[in-house]
Amino acid sequence: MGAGRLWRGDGADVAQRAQRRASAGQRRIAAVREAMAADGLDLLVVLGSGRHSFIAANLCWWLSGLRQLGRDAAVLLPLDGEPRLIVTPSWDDLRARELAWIDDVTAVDDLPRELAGLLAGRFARAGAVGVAGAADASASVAAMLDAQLGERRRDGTAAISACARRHDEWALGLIAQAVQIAEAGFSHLCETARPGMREFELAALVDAHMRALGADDNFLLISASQHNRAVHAPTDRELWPGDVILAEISPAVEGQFAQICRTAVLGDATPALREGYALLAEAFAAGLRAAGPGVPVREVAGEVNRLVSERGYGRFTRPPYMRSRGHAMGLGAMVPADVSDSSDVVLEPGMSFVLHPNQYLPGPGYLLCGDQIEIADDGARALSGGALAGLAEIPVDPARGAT
Amino acid sequence: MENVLKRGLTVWDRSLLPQDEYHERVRAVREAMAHAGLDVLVAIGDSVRPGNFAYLSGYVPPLRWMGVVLGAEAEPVLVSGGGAREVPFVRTQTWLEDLRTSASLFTGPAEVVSAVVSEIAAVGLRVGVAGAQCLEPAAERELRGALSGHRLQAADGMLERVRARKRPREVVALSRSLEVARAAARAAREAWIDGATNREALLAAERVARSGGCRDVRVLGNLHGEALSPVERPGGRRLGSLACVCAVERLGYWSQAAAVAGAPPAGAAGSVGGVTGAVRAMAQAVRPGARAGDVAEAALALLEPDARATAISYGLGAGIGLDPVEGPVIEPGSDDELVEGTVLALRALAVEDGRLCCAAQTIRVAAEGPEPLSAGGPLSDEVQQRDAAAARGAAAEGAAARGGLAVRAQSAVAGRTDSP
Repeated sequence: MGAGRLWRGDGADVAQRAQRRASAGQRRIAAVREAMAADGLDLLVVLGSGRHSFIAANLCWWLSGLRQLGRDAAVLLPLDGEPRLIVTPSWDDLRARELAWIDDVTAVDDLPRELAGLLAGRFARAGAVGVAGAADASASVAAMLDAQLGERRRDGTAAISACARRHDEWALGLIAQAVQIAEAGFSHLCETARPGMREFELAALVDAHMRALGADDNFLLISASQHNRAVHAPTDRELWPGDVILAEISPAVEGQFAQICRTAVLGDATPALREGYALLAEAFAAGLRAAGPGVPVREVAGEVNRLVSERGYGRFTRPPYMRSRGHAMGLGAMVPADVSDSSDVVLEPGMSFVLHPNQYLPGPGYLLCGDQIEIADDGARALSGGALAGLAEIPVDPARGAT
Repeated sequence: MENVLKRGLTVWDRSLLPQDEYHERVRAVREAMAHAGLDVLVAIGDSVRPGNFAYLSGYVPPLRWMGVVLGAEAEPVLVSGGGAREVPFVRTQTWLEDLRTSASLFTGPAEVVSAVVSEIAAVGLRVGVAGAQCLEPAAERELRGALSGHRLQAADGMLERVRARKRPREVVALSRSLEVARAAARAAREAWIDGATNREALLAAERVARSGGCRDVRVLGNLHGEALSPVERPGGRRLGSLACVCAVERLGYWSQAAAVAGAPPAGAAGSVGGVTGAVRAMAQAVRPGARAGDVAEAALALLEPDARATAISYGLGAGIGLDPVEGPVIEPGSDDELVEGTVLALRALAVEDGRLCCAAQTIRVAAEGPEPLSAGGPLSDEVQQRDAAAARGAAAEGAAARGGLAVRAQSAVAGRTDSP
């Protein structure tokens, strides 16, 4: 089933999806309220920054179901009563009402003023007010909260972060869709790449393909070289036969990112390239085998590094030859953060992250190999078979470029 | 609307922005520093507000912060939050030779900036900081603490004044960026006329912009009704008209363009004429020394009360350059004066007769008055002319012409929602 099919469906599919989405939102709200009660909070204010990162949580979006367009946004969640979503700018009203799973939505241009009015009015009786997301809020919002809340203010980060720590069923479904879109993107790359094309032209085509399939954003890096030092943003370099194309493909669906890391070669792979990729694929498999509920993250990273080191590349298992062996992906759950041998996180069912033994090797250069994985009750599974499927070799037709 | 990553063409175009261009910028900034009594400038940018950093380095931070430390005489130093893995690529993107990185992607600039400043003098320097708001509050506090042996002052205004007057090569970069933005807007319009849904039309614009070498692309249009939205999910209807605003960044420089398609609103001049007239009126009010508030009023005077409120909400424009929004902001009541050499991105959006309309034009504040950055007036002038021509053509073909492109064009012009 193609990724597009997941979205299109017939009327019943669309209605079912909308129902599942709304239910997921209500479950998140209920879970956060439970955590608020445990923490003694009467009201939780979750602030948005307008900046969306694939390696950081966006808790305002996670709790409201809405990507904010402006600088400021806030969800006000009382222990009892209807939650309220405030977004900026005021002209985003129509979209916000249609997409948010919170019914009470206000779109304004002056969020501090609106928020101050609510805290002094409708929510004035809230004794303990938890605030989450304050570190990234605009200065005017931060100043207003300082002035308005005084001793009522508590740190509300823990209450919501505890709920977002593990992906819920809805988020795992979005991750699966994002992985399918990413795979479709890589297939498109292999179908369209040809000598003479510039890196950014290839990236534009791949990006457009995934946008059409439903990616709402993409942390996409595509670059090529005869001997890569790292993956980077696309330049105007022309592709050439023998180029090793690196693709870090990270589409988001409803803000939830997933990632695959792929390597392709224009033409036939050299033995060194095949061997290098096979080593990383083995390292990926070792990491996947090691992962599971109750397993410390550092053991997963350790398995990857052990295998690479055993083949004589130990010194390349450290920066600047690599960064980490994987990481969590936004929107909500940012656990286990980096997959590294210094992590103190223990894996739990419901966690999902990219496992990528990406690194530089002296023969073939920097290579990418990785897939999104999910921790289940009985172990870990990759959401795609792509990383283990091997290096992609793109046939080159001397007369026409790539076939 | 911030994308998670600036994922398009990333390149230092040495033919358009050669090394001597940056030498001249450094010279101009040092003159301003001397005038302001500064020994050192720390210019910080991030992926959202890259301008202060990009002006001196030529590079746009892909994520988080980057900075330039510029002394009165010492060679400028690029400081970056991030691992050494990225350094070889960054070297290909900037003329600066001295690159230093902080301990990790997630640490602030305090340690590395203070080390660079201390190479100039241990204590007692007058250090200006521009762009501190690009740092997280904790990182900003750390930076101020690390530089506490010096006299710190904000340098945002000083650098903003230098950057406001666009240099000749910057004007060319802005013009080229604008060409792509306009091509993207046209692509959206043409796709819609050809029967695309509104979503498909906006994606056509994105594709043209990225293929045209834009690093950051933000396309908004009417998807959920008569208001701007980004494309976020598949599906969506073909509405009775299309309104599209494209903001793009190419080689570091931002531009914007607008397009509309569909049935002209009821009434003589119609609302396309309304917003186009508003943009034209703003353009005509542009001259050195004019108040930004007066430029805004020139537009608002031509709009109905409801349309005025909508236009103000969307904004009437601002300076544009290495940041998507620079000073001055064109808004009612603003006393900011227009400075010669500034480039303004003017726009007007309004809902009239139930239809979202938009127009945009980019103007350089020349000594003699307004100087359009590209040939032609607001794009919707062109759109209006094409629509009128298409309507005339469709009418001439008469009732007998029911097939193929003629019907498609007629449907588009008439704003019908049937697609071929």
